[in-house]
Amino acid sequence: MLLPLFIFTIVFVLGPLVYMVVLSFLQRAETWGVTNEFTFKNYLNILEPVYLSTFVESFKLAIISTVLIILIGYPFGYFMAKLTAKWKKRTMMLLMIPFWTSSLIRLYGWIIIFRANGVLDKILMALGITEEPLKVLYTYPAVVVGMIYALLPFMIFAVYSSAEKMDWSLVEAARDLGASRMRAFLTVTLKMTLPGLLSGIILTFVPSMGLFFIADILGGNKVVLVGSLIQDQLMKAHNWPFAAALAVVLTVITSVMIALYRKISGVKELEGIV
Amino acid sequence: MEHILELKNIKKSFGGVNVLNGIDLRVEPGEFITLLGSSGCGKTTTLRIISGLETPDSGSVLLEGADVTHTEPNRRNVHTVFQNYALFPHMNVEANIGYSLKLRGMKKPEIKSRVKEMLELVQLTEYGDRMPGELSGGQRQRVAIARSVVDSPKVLLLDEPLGALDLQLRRMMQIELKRLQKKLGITFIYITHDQEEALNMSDRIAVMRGGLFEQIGTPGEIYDRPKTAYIARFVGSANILNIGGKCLAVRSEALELKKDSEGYISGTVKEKSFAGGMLRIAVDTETCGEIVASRHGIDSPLMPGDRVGITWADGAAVEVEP
Repeated sequence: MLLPLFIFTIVFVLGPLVYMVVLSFLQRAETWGVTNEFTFKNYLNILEPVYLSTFVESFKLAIISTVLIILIGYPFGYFMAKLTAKWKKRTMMLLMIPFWTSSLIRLYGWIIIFRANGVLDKILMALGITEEPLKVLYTYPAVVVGMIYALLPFMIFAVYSSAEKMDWSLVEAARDLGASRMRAFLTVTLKMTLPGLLSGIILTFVPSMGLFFIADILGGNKVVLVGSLIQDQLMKAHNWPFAAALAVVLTVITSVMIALYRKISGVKELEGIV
Repeated sequence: MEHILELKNIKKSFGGVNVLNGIDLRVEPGEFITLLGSSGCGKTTTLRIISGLETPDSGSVLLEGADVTHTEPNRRNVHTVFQNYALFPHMNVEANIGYSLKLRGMKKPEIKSRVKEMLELVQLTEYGDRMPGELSGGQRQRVAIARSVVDSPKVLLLDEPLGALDLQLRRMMQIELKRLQKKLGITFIYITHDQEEALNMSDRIAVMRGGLFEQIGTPGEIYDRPKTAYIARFVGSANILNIGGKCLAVRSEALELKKDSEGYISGTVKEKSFAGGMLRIAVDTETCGEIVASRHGIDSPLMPGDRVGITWADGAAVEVEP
């Protein structure tokens, strides 16, 4: 019974991965493709300041996005778990509906909102909050909003699935034993929902390193992420080995994060992705 | 004499349903008082109002004379042993027991020695580093109790703490709890729907029904002089007989059955059954419906269909409110 699964995994997961790693040690050919010469050059290349700073930028954006997503998504998932069954279903529905549309199309929606004299500017000016158009499109904040928009549901689902399973009488027990609301939250609720929060962090941080099209569409050329770099090296510069090396490094970083997550939470499955 | 706890005319409703309809209770220091009633009578709500997890719609809660009706649960010197124990699954036994001490900012070595004392008290010395998931029901129960008494609360509330245990363990824990209460001198307010448990353990019993205390008294008073037909039935498994406009409660073992005689009332034997060392004889009476007589022994010469006259000794019948 397991054989088809093995074959599938080897062909579609392990195969490409091995190919990528091998590719990352080869030389770029003069015209097109690669030559079969072994080299570390691609990896050394990453240490060039221009590329290294891309990694740092990606990291920074991922951290900012993830922190904001936690601040919005954790309370959301937490309070969602406290709703009645009927309202849980409705909220879940509302969160799912956007997924029925292509994420690319939804991003173009943000362009309409953010562009100069777009929906946002018109509203702000009509309310007299701003005098001039803000021109949010093609700025760093626009990219951050795009990231939050794309990844927030994953945090909400992860926290929700943890909080849903929570035995609320434990919080009452803590309060009864002398804990203030805050202490009860920190010592019980947060600890009990930590697996969900951590998997939410993984589910938002890891993709936000690679979601280059958000940075491209909402950030113009101002925000370059590792994802965009890989894409450019592959499609424009036709430097496959270097693109592969970048991808390997990204994969290693994310794998380390997932390993850390497992270690901290003691949980083997990521919560919230069923 | 100052009461350690006083409830004054407490009322509470949830979503338009009245759960408590004005209850009053005064508890003496060191007392073991049981709230006895069937499910839905409001006993858990009463407990939650005392602990502060619920606020009454009206009325007040006094702790050592001070009004705590609207005081946060963490600022009341009252702890609860929850029905499901509510042990923190992510903390080991020691951390569970030491939780309230840590909140109070007690130093680590001091916590450690207090927790050790508690573990000895509940006979779990070897289990300090176990997780709650690794304990049996009875052990969890004892951890829950240790956790609630470690910082010597004024009042301990116990919500059917033995409900999840099997009969034998229940009996043992009843004795152990009573011993613990005497030793610690903490006031216990205990909830149960098991009248035998209530009669065994309590200094006083408050029988609850429909969000009111129907009778508050010592186990002897409740058992021998039930105020109402409900209590007579619920606590003493008594038969309620309506005779001459009076409502009388007579316990099944006090009933005498004589074949083919008149007695105070008469009826027909319906069936005989043997349970728990007692023979139970159900009799259909013309005036009082089905009643049950019981006696020690395995069998009786009476057979289903026999006409019997029913009598009882003077003083065996107690007049009760219908």
